[in-house]
Amino acid sequence: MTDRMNNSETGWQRPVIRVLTTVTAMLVAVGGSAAAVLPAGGTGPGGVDVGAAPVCASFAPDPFLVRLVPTARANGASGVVRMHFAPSPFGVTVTVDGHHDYGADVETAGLPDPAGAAALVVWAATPSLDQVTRLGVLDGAGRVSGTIAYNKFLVFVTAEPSADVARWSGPILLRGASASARMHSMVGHGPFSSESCNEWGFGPGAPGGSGRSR
Amino acid sequence: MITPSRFAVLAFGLAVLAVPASAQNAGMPMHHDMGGTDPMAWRMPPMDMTMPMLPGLDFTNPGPHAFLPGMDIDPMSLPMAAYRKVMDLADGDTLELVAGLVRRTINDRTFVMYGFNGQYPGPLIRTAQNATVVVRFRNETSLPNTVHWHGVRLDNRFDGVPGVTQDLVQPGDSFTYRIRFPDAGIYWYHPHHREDITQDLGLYGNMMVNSPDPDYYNPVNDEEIVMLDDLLIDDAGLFPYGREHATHTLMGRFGNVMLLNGEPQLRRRVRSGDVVRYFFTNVSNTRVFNLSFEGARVKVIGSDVGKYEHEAFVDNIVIAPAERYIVEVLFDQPGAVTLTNRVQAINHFLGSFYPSVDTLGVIQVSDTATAESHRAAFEILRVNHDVIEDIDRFRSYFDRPVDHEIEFGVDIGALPLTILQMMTVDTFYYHPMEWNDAMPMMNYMSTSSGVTWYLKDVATGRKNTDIDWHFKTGDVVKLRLVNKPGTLHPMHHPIHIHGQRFLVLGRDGVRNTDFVWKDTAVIPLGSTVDLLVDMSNPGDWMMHCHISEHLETGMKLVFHVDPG
Repeated sequence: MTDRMNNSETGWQRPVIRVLTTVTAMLVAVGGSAAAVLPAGGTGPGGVDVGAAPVCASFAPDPFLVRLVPTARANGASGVVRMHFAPSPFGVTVTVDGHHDYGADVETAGLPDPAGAAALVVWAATPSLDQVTRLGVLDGAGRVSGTIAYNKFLVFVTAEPSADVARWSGPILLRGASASARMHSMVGHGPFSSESCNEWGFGPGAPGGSGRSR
Repeated sequence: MITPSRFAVLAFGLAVLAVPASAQNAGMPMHHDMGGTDPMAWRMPPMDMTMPMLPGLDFTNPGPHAFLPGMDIDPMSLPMAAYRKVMDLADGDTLELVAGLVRRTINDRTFVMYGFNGQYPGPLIRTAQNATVVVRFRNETSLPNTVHWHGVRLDNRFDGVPGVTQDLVQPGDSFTYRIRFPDAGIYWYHPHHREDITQDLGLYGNMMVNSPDPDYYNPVNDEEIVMLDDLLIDDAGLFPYGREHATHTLMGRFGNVMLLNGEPQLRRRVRSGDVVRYFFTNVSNTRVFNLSFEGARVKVIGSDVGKYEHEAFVDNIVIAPAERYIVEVLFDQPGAVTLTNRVQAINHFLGSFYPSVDTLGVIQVSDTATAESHRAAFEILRVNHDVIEDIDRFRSYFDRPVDHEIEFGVDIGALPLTILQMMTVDTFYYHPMEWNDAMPMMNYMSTSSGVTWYLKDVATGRKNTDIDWHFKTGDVVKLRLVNKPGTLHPMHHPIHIHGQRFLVLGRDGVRNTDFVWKDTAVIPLGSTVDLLVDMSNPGDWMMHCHISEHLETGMKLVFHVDPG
């Protein structure tokens, strides 16, 4: 028996180097010009001092954590959703169609008591809001647990006229997005790693951030 | 401050993302210029043609020589592989097991592949619990080889791990294994050297170990033993492997043709009301399956090393590489029941998930009623007191301190700069499980010469085979496996421990409530999983990731269990 081996004569190096050489030359030229007009100080948009802010490179995304940040109606409030796989005989829990099936523990703090609202209800929804799941009503300690069977989703807390509402109708007080929402955002990592996460809402010091990092 | 150099890097990353993304939005296959019909030439791997490719990668190859076994041989000169045969082996019986080239036909195309005894899958070894059988293995492939008896708590010297329990069996050479089977259940055998090639090309088979207890399992009308696999095929044939180094080492080699017992689809006929017990084994290099029988009810009763404490009805079965699950299915309505694999695949460029569905089989349920109804037994969720009593001996250890903590990670060396840049940009999010090859070119270009996956002992900082753990027979050891997201391209890992059995105590702080003995457990990205290992078997044993390509990069350690 024999085996054949073949190594086509174009290795990866040659075309990659050719492309990189061209692109890098162009970018360095452009970069040099751009640097002349970019601000050199440690401030970001709006004059915010970002010099001491944590960098996102040290803030690796936790796929099981959603940070809730307040809307203007709930200044000072905060919250987190800690997720874990729902109980299952298998090593990972997914639905029949393949969405991960999470148990979600919601913890909030500092929520106001909106006038006329009977309950603060927590919801999960797809980013396009075509599917909404009611997680439950926050208890007196600002907590509730439920399940979320989406891969990419929003979580929000609304003030509702009744604890029994099946559909969200009241104003939003807290909102957050699953870690998967960071895909394709290019914020806070790689080439952007020395920028402040806080300005983009992802850092421990961002509104509603708990300071937890890993 | 944004310096010119930083701006250059930033702009490069943006360009890398933006160019292909814009092409994708325009509906153009971007940078998909590397075709070819020479089966031995490196070429663009089969992939979703709407998926953009990084500029500069379209004419590249991974580096090692492309390899396919027996390509100078006329396939018609090789024996056509036969469907596996059942080998009933009594205590003391001997099986001749020969690994060699075979001719296979898949979807009406002919390929040269490997087979044990000219069969696909390899012979199904059926034996009794506590039996010992002899297997005389002869290697008639061109690659050095061994056979590992996955999940069996056998004598260490027959575990089939080159460099640890035996030398490689060179082409033309032989090795004799004596295998004792202390545990009832479903097990499997496969090579333990370059399994990214040899196992992928068909060197695998099951071992069914029957309990002497006639009521060990529920009564059913039939049983089916299914090995789940996938194979990477394009217009030119089987996609080549790396000769000197494994390719696809970032995510493992996903196939694009699903195989069930070596066939593209599982087909069977049953009668209305039949209950069939399925023994599933995932033998793919890296794919995790999410199986469902659409139109039938499913009960999970067992896994790697025996039965669960409590049976449970389930909607779907998630099975990672090397895992086994035993389920019973009630076909109570006439018609077609499809066996499907449904996952939410990732498009990294669009940052979106999309459904990916494979029909793996069709079970035709006839109008004729079952000859003997086992519905009543199916409806009962059995409590397995024998399993509970066995595990009772270990419950006092559940809350013991962690003995060893392992972190997973990857060191990236020589990879094309384009890929490194893209990997750096693409660190916003990684899904807990990689259900599809979301980056086929980047994955294919990564080899075991440039990528090193590792297990790191947190206490000592040692990695992989530098880790030196010693235990005594009878020790009960708690291992904590931490799959941190803070590394470059992290992903899940199915971790296999040789020669011992373990319980998955809990995940992410949530205690498990229904135990089953395991030998392989998947650790999702971001998860922390505690295992309780019953160190019952003396010897030098391996613990490793069962993604074949990750193992090839070195993601393994050896621990020592001294006689008690």
